[in-house]
Amino acid sequence: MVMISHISTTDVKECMQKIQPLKYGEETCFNGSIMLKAYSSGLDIGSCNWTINSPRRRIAYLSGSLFLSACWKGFDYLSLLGNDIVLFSDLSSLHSIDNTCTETQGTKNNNLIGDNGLSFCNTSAPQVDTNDELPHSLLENDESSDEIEKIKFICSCMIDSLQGGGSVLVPIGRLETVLLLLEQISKSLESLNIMVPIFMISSTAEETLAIINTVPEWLSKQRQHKLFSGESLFNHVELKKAKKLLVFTSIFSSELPMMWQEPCIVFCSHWNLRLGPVVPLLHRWHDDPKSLLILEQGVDAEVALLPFRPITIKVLQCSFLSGIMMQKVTPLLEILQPKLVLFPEDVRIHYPIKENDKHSYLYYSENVQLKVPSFSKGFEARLETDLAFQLQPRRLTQQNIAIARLKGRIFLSKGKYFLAASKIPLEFSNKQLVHWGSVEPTHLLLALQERGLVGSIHWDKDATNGSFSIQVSNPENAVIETSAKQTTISCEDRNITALIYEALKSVCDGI
Amino acid sequence: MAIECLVLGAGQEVGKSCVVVSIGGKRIMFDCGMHMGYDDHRRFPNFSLISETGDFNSALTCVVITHFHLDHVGALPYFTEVCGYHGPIFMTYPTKALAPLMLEDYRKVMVDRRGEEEQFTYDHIIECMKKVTPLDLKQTVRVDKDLEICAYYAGHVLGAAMIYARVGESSLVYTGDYNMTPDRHLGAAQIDRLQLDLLITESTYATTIRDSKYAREREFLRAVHKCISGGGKVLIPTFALGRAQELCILLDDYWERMNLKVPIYFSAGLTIQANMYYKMLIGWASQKIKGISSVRNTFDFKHVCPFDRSLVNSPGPCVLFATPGMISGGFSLEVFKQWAPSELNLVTLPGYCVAGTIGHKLMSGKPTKIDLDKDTQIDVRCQIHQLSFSPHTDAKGIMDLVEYLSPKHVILVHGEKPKMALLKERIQSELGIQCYYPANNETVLIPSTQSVKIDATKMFINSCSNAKLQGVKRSFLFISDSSSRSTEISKLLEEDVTAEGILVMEKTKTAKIIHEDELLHTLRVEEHQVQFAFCCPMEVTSLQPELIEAKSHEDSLMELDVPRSSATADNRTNKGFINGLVAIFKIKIDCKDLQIASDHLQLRSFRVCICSSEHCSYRTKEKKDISKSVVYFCCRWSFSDDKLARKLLQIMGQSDSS
Ligand SMILES: [Zn+2]
Ligand SMILES: [Zn+2]
Ligand SMILES: [Zn+2]
Repeated sequence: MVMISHISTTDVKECMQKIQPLKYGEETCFNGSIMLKAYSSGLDIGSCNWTINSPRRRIAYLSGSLFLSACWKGFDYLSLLGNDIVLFSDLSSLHSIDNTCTETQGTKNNNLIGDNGLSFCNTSAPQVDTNDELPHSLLENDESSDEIEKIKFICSCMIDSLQGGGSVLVPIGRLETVLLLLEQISKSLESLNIMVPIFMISSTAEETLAIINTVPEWLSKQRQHKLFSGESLFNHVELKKAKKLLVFTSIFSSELPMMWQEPCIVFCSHWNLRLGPVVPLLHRWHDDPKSLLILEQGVDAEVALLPFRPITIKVLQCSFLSGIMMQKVTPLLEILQPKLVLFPEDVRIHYPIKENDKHSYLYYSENVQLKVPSFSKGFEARLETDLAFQLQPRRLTQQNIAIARLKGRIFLSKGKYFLAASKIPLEFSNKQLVHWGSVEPTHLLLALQERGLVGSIHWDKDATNGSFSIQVSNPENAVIETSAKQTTISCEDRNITALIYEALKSVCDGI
Repeated sequence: MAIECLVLGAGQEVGKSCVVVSIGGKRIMFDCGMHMGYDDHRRFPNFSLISETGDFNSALTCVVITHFHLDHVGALPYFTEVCGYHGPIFMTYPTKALAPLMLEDYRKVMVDRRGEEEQFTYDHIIECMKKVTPLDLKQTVRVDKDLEICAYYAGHVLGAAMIYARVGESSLVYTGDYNMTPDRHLGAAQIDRLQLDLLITESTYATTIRDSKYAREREFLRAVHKCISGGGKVLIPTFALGRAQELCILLDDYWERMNLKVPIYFSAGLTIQANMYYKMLIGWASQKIKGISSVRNTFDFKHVCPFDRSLVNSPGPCVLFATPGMISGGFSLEVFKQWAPSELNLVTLPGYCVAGTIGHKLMSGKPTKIDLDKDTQIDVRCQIHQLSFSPHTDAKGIMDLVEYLSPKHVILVHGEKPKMALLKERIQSELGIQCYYPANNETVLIPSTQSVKIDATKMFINSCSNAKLQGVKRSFLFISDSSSRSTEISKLLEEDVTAEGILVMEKTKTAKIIHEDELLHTLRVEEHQVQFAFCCPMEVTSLQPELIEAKSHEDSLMELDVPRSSATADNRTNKGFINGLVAIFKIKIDCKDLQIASDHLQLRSFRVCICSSEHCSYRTKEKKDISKSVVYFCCRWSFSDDKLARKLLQIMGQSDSS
């Protein structure tokens, strides 16, 4: 088979250079206004959910998440509290709800494959009664111990094959499965005193194994505990040292034939059974009924195995949790308390809009833009005290309101607006001041008198809207005409005009 | 509100680092160290100053430890297990992994010393470490609703961190020990440019400027090589962690290059165990070491051999790492007693030794005899090599960090008083930043940034963004907010953009900043417009276009419309007067923005038209000479253009032929 590669190693390297790596919980700012944070989702090493906060929106973006993982840091859902919107981006695990029991699927496949197939039974976890449980304990119930049970079951099948003189072929899929199988099978082999080599054949295995043992921050609590008690994070370090685990980059490695011995266990790529060392090895063992092939769910076993017919090798297909379980969505939302939940359209049947629900739901579809309402009209900002002290508030006549003109510097920091005093003093621009309300003639006349201006009120008899004018005769001639919406001041002398304006301002609301 | 800073240790000295900071109602203890130079109560910080009743759980919000050195973590088991602090404790992953090794090593040394009563037990260490929450770098951790902390890379030793703490808008950084230049296994300190009220920094080398460390590394290697080629033994007293690994990387690499076969030993299983931790924690080493770690782990030392006590007196050269550093007791002292009398041998000393230790005695002068106690005297004939590289930043590094962070205030700790005084002066004079260096048990009060939460309307934010857009010619990134379809410019980051608006404060409501144009609507009121008017008389003769044309023959811009025959006579004259006025203005002012129509002209809000009303109320000034033919120009303007209006009126007055 010829595979055309569309990307080169250089492409990959250049692409990786553009990536800004983040730690869990590390704040990063896009454009100064959007704060992004990643929190562990538990699905794989480094997998994450995101919080996306802008001055107006707070979104939690959820991908496939596992509450507890035997290897990786679990689903850190508490860090997602306080967001208005929860967006479920990956509920693919819910689609397999209909076959929560993998038994059916497994048996079906096995029937198709042949009678030597082993069926894998998903140990039916006792349903936890949601009403009696606190949401947290419900969420964290024994997901991972179920997974460990599965691993143990697979190991027992592997041991059976090895004891029967067959080899075991494990195409590398999820890293966690490989690490746990490696750990479990090596223990079993030791306790049963079975001496078979474990091979790992992959161009990246050596590096992956080295790295995985140096990243305690990304691992589950139990693994971290190993660090603090001075043990290796994973036992493959010891297995390699004791030459029980033999790692090769390729099936053509020159030393491989010298070490090769059957029966054996081989971990190798690729899980699609079309590439890598798995192909020749499967050709070698496909008609050996003593040997065992372990496949993860997600592969259509029938199609995958077509080129290797006839198949008499035993096939064990197993499924592992790959996301949030259906029954945990509601309790999770109880904790997160978003105002709005966004679901993919195809789970609408599971989460129909119900009346008097605490959250509202919206459903999105691929390639269709969805308008999501915002929960705040304005922006949140912080007014720093230095600027607040410069304000000269003016109490308004009617309501319990004071207003003040504000001029300072504004900056955006970590997704929040800040208003602070300017480093250099700022003058208010010479803008037209705003006035509103009406002017009481006697008040105005009084205010003029206080400023040494003598005048008299003249009512406009034609107008109905209470228009009047004040004629000022001393020290200069001036006229002030006022209607409900407008005042005109006429005076040739600039200083007197200013005095009149001041008098007007004192009797009229404005800023 | 102020930030209150109580220095319980490392005030004007090096040892028992411990600073208790009250910030926004929270109280954080940074480091909980011990002083190696004292055996009495001065060994630990005076915790009673935190709480008289000894109720540390309600007195403190949390404890944060910067790194595993004993002068930073040494008193922690005592504080938690003996004093009874049970609140949260934070330290980085490596510190949580390595601190117990340091503590246990120290405890053993103390127990070995006769008559020494132990301050805490092995179980205390284990119990204490169980209470620790590990931190990753750059990970923002919410300690409680209000307090956030974040660790930044400090260099210095594996896992060393600078700690950022924030409550509301008040924030500070406590550096712990740090190094601004990378060394053999660690990177340089790295921190974001944070807005800080306070920076608490170490100042071990407050006045020292160091040159390249490579020369000093070469010196060390040369001394070691010379000794072993002469058949001598090299004793390197170090603590199990940190310096031991750095020197070992140096030696392992040198052995490889020089093809040396002389064995390198680690005295205690401790150091070997430590190496295993280092291997797992290689992610915290320098980029260079991390980069090659998947190929070869630098802490897999090739030339280190397993050690046995009998090897101390076996013949032939060797290099031995022995704990503790400074030769304050334990195995390093034991070996020193045996090896010191031979001139073939070499003893290296760390850059800094606490007074009272053998290391300190060896550093001061070159003694030939050292009195260990009343009965024991050691002949010292061996070579002494003092290591001059240090994992601490030098004065330039401190100044660089202070300048980079530009906090509002600086507090110096972890240094020597006279040098701290000099550094304080430099920080104040060169950087203009207030600086303090309190002694132990003193408190410094620092004013902190405060802010009030307000709402800002979209129009206000947009107006600020637009102002910026006009002001600076560069590309901006827009973020579309789909719910409103408007754009918001987001690149206001850390640049001075002037904001102008009106703050509306209503009782029991969050204050709101709005754009001026939103005010009337917000207050639900109607505008009352204020304008100015003046009906200005001018003599017709002063408005003759020909006359003015002659006056301003150079004004090529002037284009006077020729009156059309269809226009009425009145219109024609009005237009003529307007044109006459335009001509006058053009001589005096820049008329680029002047709008001219047949019956009026306008510049900004200043509008002039021919006044036909004899009873115009704005004719506050009457022409006295009635014989002359006068035309009235009714002028109106708004307050913002008052200055302009007065100037134009003045021009009109001056041009009047009377
Ligand atoms: Zn230190
Ligand atoms: Zn220190
Ligand atoms: Zn008029």
